[in-house]
Formats: sequence, structure tokens, C-alpha cells
Amino acid sequence: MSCSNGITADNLHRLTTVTQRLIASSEKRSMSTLHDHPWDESVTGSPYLRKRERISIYGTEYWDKASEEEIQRLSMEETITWWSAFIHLESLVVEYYMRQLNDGAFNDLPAVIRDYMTHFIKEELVHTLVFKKSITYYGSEIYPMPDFLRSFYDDNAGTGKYPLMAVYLTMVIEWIADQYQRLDVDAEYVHPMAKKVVHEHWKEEMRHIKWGQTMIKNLIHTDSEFKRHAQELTPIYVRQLIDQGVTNIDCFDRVGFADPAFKDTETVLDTVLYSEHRQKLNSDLVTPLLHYFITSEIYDESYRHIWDMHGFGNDLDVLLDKES
Amino acid sequence: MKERKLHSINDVIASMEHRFRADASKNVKAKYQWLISGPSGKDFCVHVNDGAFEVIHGRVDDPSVTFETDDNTYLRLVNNEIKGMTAILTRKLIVRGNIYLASKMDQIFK
Repeated sequence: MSCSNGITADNLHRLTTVTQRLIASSEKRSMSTLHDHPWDESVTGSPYLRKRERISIYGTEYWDKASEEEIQRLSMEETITWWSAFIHLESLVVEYYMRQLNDGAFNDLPAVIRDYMTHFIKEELVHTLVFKKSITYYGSEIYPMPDFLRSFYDDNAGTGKYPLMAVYLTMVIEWIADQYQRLDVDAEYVHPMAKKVVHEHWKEEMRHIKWGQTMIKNLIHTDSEFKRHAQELTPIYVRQLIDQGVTNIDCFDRVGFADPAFKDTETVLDTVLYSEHRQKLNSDLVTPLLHYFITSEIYDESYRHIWDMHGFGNDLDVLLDKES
Repeated sequence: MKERKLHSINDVIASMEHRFRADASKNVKAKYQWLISGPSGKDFCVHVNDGAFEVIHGRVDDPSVTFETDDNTYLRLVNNEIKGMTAILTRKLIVRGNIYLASKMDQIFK
């Protein structure tokens, strides 16, 4: 049975139920800018903010060309560049979704969706404040906004009744970013503040990602153009996000490596991005996303050649074998 | 068959006719704006319109996707001497605009 807005009663029920659960969870436990992090504990020594195996140059010849001090600094800067990206993205998210709410973009969906949006926007705003505090805590400075983000929402809002493309692109970017961060701090020696920042953020983003996934799964059939575009662009978008998440050449400038080999950033990046070690890390990172793409019909066999072209063929085969 | 190396931006524009894949551009309406700096740089737009295309010299209003680079990097990209992602990460190529339409570009021109 289909309602007047093209959504089935079942889809609407699932969307409402999940959203109500997420709101309840948000009201019960939401991050504070003051109380959830050990702000009063000072930084001592030379902390690692990223697991060594996940630092960009690990597993390449550049690892041996860097001093221990340079590696430690790179672990810090590569984390700070992620936190900077979160500040830029989440600021845009707040602005964009506030505008959508004010313009009535969700008005023909149940009121609970708009309630959720207010919780979501508040949490995203708190995240930007916490990331700013964290960068200051480590005595570093925010990195500039990546170019592709500057007009991200204006260029990609989508064409359907709901801003599904914006919801989808935001969900995927947040998911990949959080996957990176969660894996990055997964070592005993990573500094406790970095772990806390990542874990607290991850807990809330799990709700946001779940909501985005639910929106897409239940509304994808209301917008055939969105569906086709998402099926076609996802492998390319995911490839770009994964590769762009590895490092940022400004980090290399800040570290100021003594070995002249680091000056040739083109060769450094080619080596880092396509190393065997990096392919293994990428597989670990992308597997949960691929599973979602398959079950939500974002993955479509007719676009398989694009997935293969962008290096996801083997990981997809493993999952598709399991599914069958 | 090995592709002939392209030595100038005008060479690249001239080669578009035989590299264009009309089938891949069906239902695509997009303005791809290139802003190329450097001694032999130039600005031009490839206007793809549902199975056809035209090159417009200079800048257009409301491009769907904007690519900014320098003349040397542009030719290296076209001749497959630098990977697109490496060019982006080293700030030699800046891409702005609609992600879906940007992703179609490689399929439309081989």
C-alpha cells in the first residue's frame, strides 16, 4: 500500500520507529562540551594520536626515512586534519539542515523527523565545538577547508521531493570519517584524550549514520533519479573519500621532514595510496559500507564495472559470496 | 593501440570529437568548466547535452562542475602521466560542483 507521498505504510512505520528510538537515545545521552572529556589533564611527552600502522607512510619506504619524532608529529597532524575536516563539514551540515527545516523540506513526513533534526543539529554543533577545543588542547591549529566541501550542499542537494542526495552524501562521508577515526585510535598507546574525542563522537555519529541509512532504505523508491545517480556515483565517491582520508600534504609541511625525499609529494602520495599495506587497511574500512550498499540496493550489478574500476571488486566478491 | 600523446590544450580539444562517447552522455546535461592557468593555459567549457557536445571558449555562467589546474598538469592528466587523485591531493587539480556529473566525465570522454 502506498501513501499519497509515494511512501508505503511499512516504510513510514519503520522510519518512524527507528527515528523515535534514536531521539530517545539522544535525550538520554548526548555529548557535552564540558563534561565528557578530560580537559584538565595536561599533555605530557610526545603523544601518538594515531595508531602507528595507520599513519600514512607506514608500510612504505618513507617510514624508514622519517625520524621517530617526525612520525609522532605526523600521527598528530593527520588526526588534527581529520578533526578540522569534521569542523568544516559539520558546520555546513548545521547550516544546511537548519535551512531545510526552515524551508519545510520534511513537512510531509511525520513530525518525529523534524524533532529528530533538531536533536541532530544540536549534536553536530556540539561536535564542532569539541573538535575545536581538542585541536587547541594539543597546541595545533585548524587546517583549511578542503576545496570540494566549499559548495558541497549547494551543488549536490538532489532533485527529488526530499533532500535524499544530501542525506546520503552526508551519511557516507560521516561513516567513512568515523570508520577512519575509530580504527586510527585502536591501540593502547594512543593518547587518552584522542581516544575519548573519537569514541564520544563515534557514539553520536552511530545514531546519525543509522538515521541516514534508514532514510535512504525507506525512501529510495520515492525518487528513481536519486537511486540511479547514487548507484552510479557511489563507487567513485567512496574511492575519493577513502583516498583523501589517508593524509593531507599540509601535514607534511607542518612536520617538516628532514629527508629531501618528502619534498616530492607526488611520488610520496602515489607510494602511500597504492601500497599493499594501504589496500589491506582500505578493505577493513570499506567492508561495512559495502554490506550496506548491497542490502539497500545502492549496489546494482549493472554498474559493477565502475566498482571494479575503482578497486572494490575483490571486497564485493567476498560479501556477495557470503550473501548468496 | 597506443594513444597518441597530446602536446597542447588545442590538441586535446581537437581530439574530443573522436574521444566523445555519445551513448555514455545520453540524458546528461552538464557544463564542464575548465580553468587552466600557466603560459599556455586557457579557459573553456565542454557543454554536454544529451548525446552531443560543444566546446565554448572562455567562462560560462553556472557551470555544473569546475576543474582548476595548470597547463602542465592538464596535459599530464590527459596523457595519463599523473593520476587524478594524486593531482587532487597535491592541490594541482581542484574539482568543485556536482559529484554525480563530475563522475560521468571519464565515461563521456575516453
